Amino acid sequence: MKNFFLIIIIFLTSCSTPIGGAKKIEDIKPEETPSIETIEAGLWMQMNNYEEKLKTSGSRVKDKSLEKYLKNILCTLTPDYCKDIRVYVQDMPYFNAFMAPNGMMVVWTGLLLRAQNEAQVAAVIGHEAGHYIKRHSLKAWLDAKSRTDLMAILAIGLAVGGVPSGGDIFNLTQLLQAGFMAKHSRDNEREADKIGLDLLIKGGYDPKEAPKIWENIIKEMELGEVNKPLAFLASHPAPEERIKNLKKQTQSYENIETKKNEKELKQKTSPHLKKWVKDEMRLKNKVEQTEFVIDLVYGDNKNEYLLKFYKGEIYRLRGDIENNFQKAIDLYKESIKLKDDFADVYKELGLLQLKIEKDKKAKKNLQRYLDLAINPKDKSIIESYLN
Amino acid sequence: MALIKKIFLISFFLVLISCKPDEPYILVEPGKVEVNKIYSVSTNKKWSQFQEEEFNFLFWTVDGYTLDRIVFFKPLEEGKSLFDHDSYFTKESDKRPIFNSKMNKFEMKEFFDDCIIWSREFTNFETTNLENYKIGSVEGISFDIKAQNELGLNYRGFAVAGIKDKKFYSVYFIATEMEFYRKYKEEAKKIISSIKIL
Repeated sequence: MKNFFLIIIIFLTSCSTPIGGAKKIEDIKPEETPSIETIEAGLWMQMNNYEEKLKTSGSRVKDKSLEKYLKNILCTLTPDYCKDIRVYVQDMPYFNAFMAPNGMMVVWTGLLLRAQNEAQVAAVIGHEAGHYIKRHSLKAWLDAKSRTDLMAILAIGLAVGGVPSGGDIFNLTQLLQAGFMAKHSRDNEREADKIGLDLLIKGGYDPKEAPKIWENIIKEMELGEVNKPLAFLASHPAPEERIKNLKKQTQSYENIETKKNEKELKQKTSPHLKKWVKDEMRLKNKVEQTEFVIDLVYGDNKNEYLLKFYKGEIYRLRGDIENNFQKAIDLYKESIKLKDDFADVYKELGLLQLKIEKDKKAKKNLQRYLDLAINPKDKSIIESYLN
Repeated sequence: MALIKKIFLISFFLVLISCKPDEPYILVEPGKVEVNKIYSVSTNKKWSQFQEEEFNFLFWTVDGYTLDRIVFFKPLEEGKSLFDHDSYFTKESDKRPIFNSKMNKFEMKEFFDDCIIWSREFTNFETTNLENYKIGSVEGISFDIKAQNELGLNYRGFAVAGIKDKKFYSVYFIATEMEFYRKYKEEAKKIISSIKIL
């Protein structure tokens, strides 16, 4: 086995690159595909295999309308590369997106949950497109090789080969992060930020939204487990630095448009929000951190009743410790004050009141739920608590 | 000659003992069966039962775990989870879904969902049609399952769960939507409806 790895290492370190050293790599041209004898073609081939698996994977969010919407954002930002980059949404409750060298862009649902408008999503898509245009994955590979960073090369080699996981794309996703994203140098990240902002402004989006997404991430990290930065930030420049750079770069442009398209994003994500919010709550991050994310989703005045309801859910799901049930009940009641015909809140309030033996109030609220809900599928269960 | 005979006999004996399967499967014959002294069930078919002490469940299958199975969870005590491994991302055991004996019927389903999602076996996991259900004399719930794994294979199934003496009991059937769900659905329904908690 040792010999096998030794052979791989020797093979990898002896590879010559027809493209040359990392610094000489030129931008990829629209509709360009790498020549078959290059290392880049090998990377593409591996990623094409991965992409084929992702297409039918259970973790891909099969919402053509949402993927088309994200693709349209990409095409608005960079019409020249519209044909070259495919955008997929993967059901992962973390703030992340990544770009493979073959033009496969993957956006995680945790990122879409946190984005407050289309301009913020466009800022991330533009950043990822920047990695593609500048061939950063190939550079990362060659840089690692030039440093004879054997372990890194081996890790990438095995990762793209799918060796550790036996076809498990979920694991492969992790390894992709290690192989292609975490290995981007900070300079490459800064370059992608610069390109991303340039594309954002040319696309007519409000550039002030680009730093906002990072400001929100900083706040979320501060409220949560700061020592464990979110995957997207693991290898990137510090959010503080990129906010400063983005703001500085914005000042160099004139006649900036301010398109945000908040409604457009919400319209596309709304069918999924209930599930994504639930997935976020399942992570059991610190209460304040989860509350902050829920604030981003339902913080507008129109949905404040949902904000209160889901905050109540955060406490209910943590169980009867630290007065959580009472906190949940209070929040449900606040939700009812804001909107008195939202059925779900009466159900949760009633069920929780049953637990703390306030049976009379509980039954009244459960009955109110049955009155308000349209053809409730759980009618028989609720009735079992009423009788 | 005697030595050759001896060698032959020893070799034959070694071949015989090497044929003994080390897989922890046993054959379940049709009839009334006690599952690990926890559940009593009736089956009309033969099933292969997989059981290992370290797991808090055992399962029956005809064609293999990934194609069709009935999973019987051992009774779960307060503060425990159906799966005890760490989450892929967080590596934090304290974030596992935890059973609480005061769970209502909705929370029982929620707990089951959360545990299966935590296990990361499926990338999509959805339960619907929650109904009141009695497992023998125990008031519980039944619900349907729809799932998809990372490779995109669709599954369907159903489950029952209940709380007895502050312990969580659950059994589910799941099979690939293509072929095996249809093939074993009726038999699985009969088996699950015959379950009694011992």
